[in-house]
Amino acid sequence: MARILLVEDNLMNRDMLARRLVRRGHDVLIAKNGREAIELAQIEDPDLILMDMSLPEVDGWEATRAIKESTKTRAIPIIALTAHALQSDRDRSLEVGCDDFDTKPVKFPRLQAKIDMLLQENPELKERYSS
Amino acid sequence: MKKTSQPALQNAISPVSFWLAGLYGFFTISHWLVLSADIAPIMMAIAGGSACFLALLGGYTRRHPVPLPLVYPVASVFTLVIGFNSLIHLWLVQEPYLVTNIGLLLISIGIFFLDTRWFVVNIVATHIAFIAFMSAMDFSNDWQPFIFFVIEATMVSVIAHLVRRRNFDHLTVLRHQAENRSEQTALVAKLATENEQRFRRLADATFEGIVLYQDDKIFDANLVLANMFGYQLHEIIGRPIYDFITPQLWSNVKDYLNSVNEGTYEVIAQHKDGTEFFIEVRGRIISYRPLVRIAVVRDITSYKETEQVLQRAKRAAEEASLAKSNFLANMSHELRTPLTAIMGYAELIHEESEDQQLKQIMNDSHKIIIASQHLLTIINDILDIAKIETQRLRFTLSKLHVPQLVHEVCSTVQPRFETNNNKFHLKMADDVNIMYVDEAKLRQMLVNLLDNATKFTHNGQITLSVSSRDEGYLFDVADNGIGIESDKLATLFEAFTQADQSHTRKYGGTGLGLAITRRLCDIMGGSISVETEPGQGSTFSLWLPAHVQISNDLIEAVET
Repeated sequence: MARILLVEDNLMNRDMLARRLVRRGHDVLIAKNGREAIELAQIEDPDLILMDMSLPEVDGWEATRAIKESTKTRAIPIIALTAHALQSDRDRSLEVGCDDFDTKPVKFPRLQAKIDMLLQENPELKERYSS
Repeated sequence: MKKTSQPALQNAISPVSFWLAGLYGFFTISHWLVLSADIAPIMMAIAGGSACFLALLGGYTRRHPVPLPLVYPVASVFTLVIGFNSLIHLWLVQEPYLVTNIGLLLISIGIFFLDTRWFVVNIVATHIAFIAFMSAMDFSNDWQPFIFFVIEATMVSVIAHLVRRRNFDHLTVLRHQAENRSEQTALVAKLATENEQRFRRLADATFEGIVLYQDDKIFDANLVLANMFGYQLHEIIGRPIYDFITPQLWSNVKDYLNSVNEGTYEVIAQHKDGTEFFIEVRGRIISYRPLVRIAVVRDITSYKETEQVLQRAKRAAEEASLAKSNFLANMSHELRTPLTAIMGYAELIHEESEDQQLKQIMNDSHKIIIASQHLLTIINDILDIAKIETQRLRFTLSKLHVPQLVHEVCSTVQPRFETNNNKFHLKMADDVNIMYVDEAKLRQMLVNLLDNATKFTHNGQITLSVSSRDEGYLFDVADNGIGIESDKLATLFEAFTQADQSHTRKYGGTGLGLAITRRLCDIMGGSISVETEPGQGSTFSLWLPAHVQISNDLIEAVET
């Protein structure tokens, strides 16, 4: 279906989310922190990024900002994932350039719907899907 | 007023006696030298006897004043003595010129006797005695001028008496007036002293210090004030008020007094021993003398201390409350991370067991998912409460079509009605239309109320009625479930108080739903109430204004 970059530092959450995405037919790339996320986004050019916000070294906010600043990776949609359920977190993630926002624990059908929508909105991907 | 003349004469008795005694002593000697030998012994005896008698009388009355009623009888004795001497002398010598003695006696009576009745008695008695002696003597033409002389002397005596009497009466009136005046003055002074004492006692009996000052100098105060500052009253009179105020505040007080005629202020006072304490001063200018100020002073040190303790306690309580809410917010975040893994893996297991048709594992993992979802609801509710209490919950106001929203809510909640086999009925009034509100919060409140209703009702009926009321909308959620005991009603809308702790186990839920609903309702300017009958069911009534207004710092966004 799509190549998804999953950025998550927590081993269990990373494993669980990766397996569930794979079950739905996605190719999953893994990054354990913000720095790896920026690198992989450059090298692998994923279709979409699921970004946990509280990360070691370079956190999700910074990584998002860096990815969105680069012309090469700017078009990649990013969904922020955070355990902070506060409205201010949602605003902050949209402010740094995230395309959508979801809270943990992830409700998978809802996340899947968000992924589908963002992929459809992206004309380049739409093209890829249709072919 | 009695114009009695006895006192005036009383003091004259003794000196007049001595003078007359002296005069008759002189006559005794002059009789011996002048009179012929046949008369001289008789006249010397009479004059000498009179002199002795008068000397004794003078001596006696000098030590023992004549009682007032006897003053005129004793004075009449002088007339008797003088008259007797004069008439005997006249009788023995038979010379008309000696009638002059009688004339002098008559004039003296006019001068001496102020009492008119005694004056008349003495004049008449003298005349009778004179006429009696005269009738026993031979008259010649030589006597004629002296008879007229007696008549003239009588007239002079009467005039003298009248003039003296008149003067005396006038003086008496003046003296009485003066006496009255001094009595009145004394009375006024006495009353003034009494008043002063009464008011001073009154001022001293208060619990507050009272001070009068002029040009910043104390000129009077009550004992309470003096004691408050550790002084005797006399020590503070005349001293400037600034002696009793901490020097740092002098200019403040000066400015205050220059600009304000009447008011209350608090200031740090200085005790005689140098310690400082708080006083409250209520002062004003009074119209006693120009620019006199009166001030009532109260020691508010203990009040201040209590206030400080209370403020510290309040701050500590507020800090503790904030810390608690912050803790809850952090806690809910910390709980979410492992819960994400638990739910995720449970769902994964559920999906995988479904693929492999492992029925038992499917069922078990489903139970983990249900329990986790419940746990998540609890964490979300706690976070909501914490956000409301730390004022971190933000509102987004927008216009929405109420019937549409209600239908959406109903379809969300529909599966839960079926769990307890409840029937659901929606009554929507025709005039229900547009509302300006936070959509998510309204949705949350309605879901809470409907959830609650179906949670405590089995095989029953849940009714949601929406109608417009008082420029707002009324949402009534009625059920015929277990109802609420009256003693639980008071805390129904408080956090963490599900009516019965056992209900938490039996019916699930955190007991936070109503607390959140009530708080959201309060913030949005609405009201919520409940009518209930144990065993019969409950009706929760939520009213919200059609146009919700919220204080600006709580508004997240406004969509028009």
